[in-house]
Amino acid sequence: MEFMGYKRADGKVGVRNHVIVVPGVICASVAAKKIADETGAVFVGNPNGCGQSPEDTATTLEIITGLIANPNVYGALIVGLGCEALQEERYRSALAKLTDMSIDYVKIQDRGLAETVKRGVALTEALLKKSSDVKREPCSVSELILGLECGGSDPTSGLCSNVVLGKVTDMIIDMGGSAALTETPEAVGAEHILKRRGATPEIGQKIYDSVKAFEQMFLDRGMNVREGNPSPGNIAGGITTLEEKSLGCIHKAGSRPFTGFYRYGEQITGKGLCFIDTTAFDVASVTAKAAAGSQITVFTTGRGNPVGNPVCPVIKMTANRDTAERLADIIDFDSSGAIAGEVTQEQLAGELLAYIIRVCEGELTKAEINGSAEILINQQMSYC
Amino acid sequence: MKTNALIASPEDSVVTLTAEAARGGKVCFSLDGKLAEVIAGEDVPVYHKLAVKTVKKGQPVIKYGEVIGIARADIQPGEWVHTHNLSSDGR
Repeated sequence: MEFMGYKRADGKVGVRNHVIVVPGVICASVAAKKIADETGAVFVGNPNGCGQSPEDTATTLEIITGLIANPNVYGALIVGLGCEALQEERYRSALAKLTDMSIDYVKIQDRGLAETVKRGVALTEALLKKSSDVKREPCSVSELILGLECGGSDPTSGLCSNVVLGKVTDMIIDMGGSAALTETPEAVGAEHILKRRGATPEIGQKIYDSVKAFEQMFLDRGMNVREGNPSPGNIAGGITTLEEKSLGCIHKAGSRPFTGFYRYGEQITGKGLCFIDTTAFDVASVTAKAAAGSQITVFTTGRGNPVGNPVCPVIKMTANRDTAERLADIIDFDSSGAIAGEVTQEQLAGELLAYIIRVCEGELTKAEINGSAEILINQQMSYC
Repeated sequence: MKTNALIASPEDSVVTLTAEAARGGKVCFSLDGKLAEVIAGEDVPVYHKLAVKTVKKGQPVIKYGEVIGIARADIQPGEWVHTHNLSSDGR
């Protein structure tokens, strides 16, 4: 199956052709926002860039450079402050390993805010002009990495939306494509099933161990991950325990074997279904998938959630009819017909795949229309 | 009769309601191609769980054919199953 996408020099395929403006550190956000607003480029937030432990600084660098190198991005301007931990050279050397894209860089302490914005606008306008020369051309679905997400879940997610999405995951894998399951804590109670689904015993064991390690990290500090999750909204909707939520969550990953396991911040390098070890907090998890190279995410929800991502389209899907109707301005795909027995889950899977392809070819999601473009990066320690 | 609940897996001890149930009302679901029913013992909100089997206190509650937690009280068919009588195995 083919779709009209953007072929990049390194062979990767994008579904958008964004020029992005990224603060190298949160302190430079004001300049980066002004540049994006003035030029129409896409602002990609960076909550960090300084004040973190060396390990967390490295994670921020991996995530921000991963977002820049995402195949949906044509070009980028990084706006620095000047004194921050993540200096221009660190960004440039990390990006050189990921992409051939030319990156522009300006910093506020060189010339003040107004002059930085002026210089940044000129650089971004030049990038935008060049980006308009790139046209969509036929690309194989096998180049897609589908991000799998659920948030604000209710029991309709596990019984329907995630099952329908899992069927689409299988279809994309069978066409030679890829998909990424994330949200390690939302595998608690389902880790034994994921372990069996490893393409090799080692991959299955790595997934299993990551779930156990996440739970242990909380226990070591006298806390229980099962107490904050499910959330109050999940519980009001009818989900009682984390195991119940997890067993519903993993349906998104369909039925094919896991051929890859990646740590948080790592790039996806193989084909097929993979697991990325991330937090369950939706925004951090969607960010991690986009930074790992996924071009599009399908986000199932029962309660409804408007979040998006600046680099990747995020499709919202619900099987809760009340949510589909009441929150129509944030829901893209209504799968409640299968709950009501009006259509089969197989029929909906075919419709969802067709819709995903339309979005890949440029149809805007509600999150894109609404301007939802949140970024969050996981960290282990306090800011220093 | 139209169904108003779904069972995720035949061995499950609970069904998920697709319409709210009133005390004394019939809850119907399709099980192995046949229609099964249980009488709701109390009012239960839509998408919440209703027991279709007896689960003794301390025993696992099954949904999706897997353990979703431990019964913290004896549960009878028709009872609402939620945080008051079910909690995680790891708590």
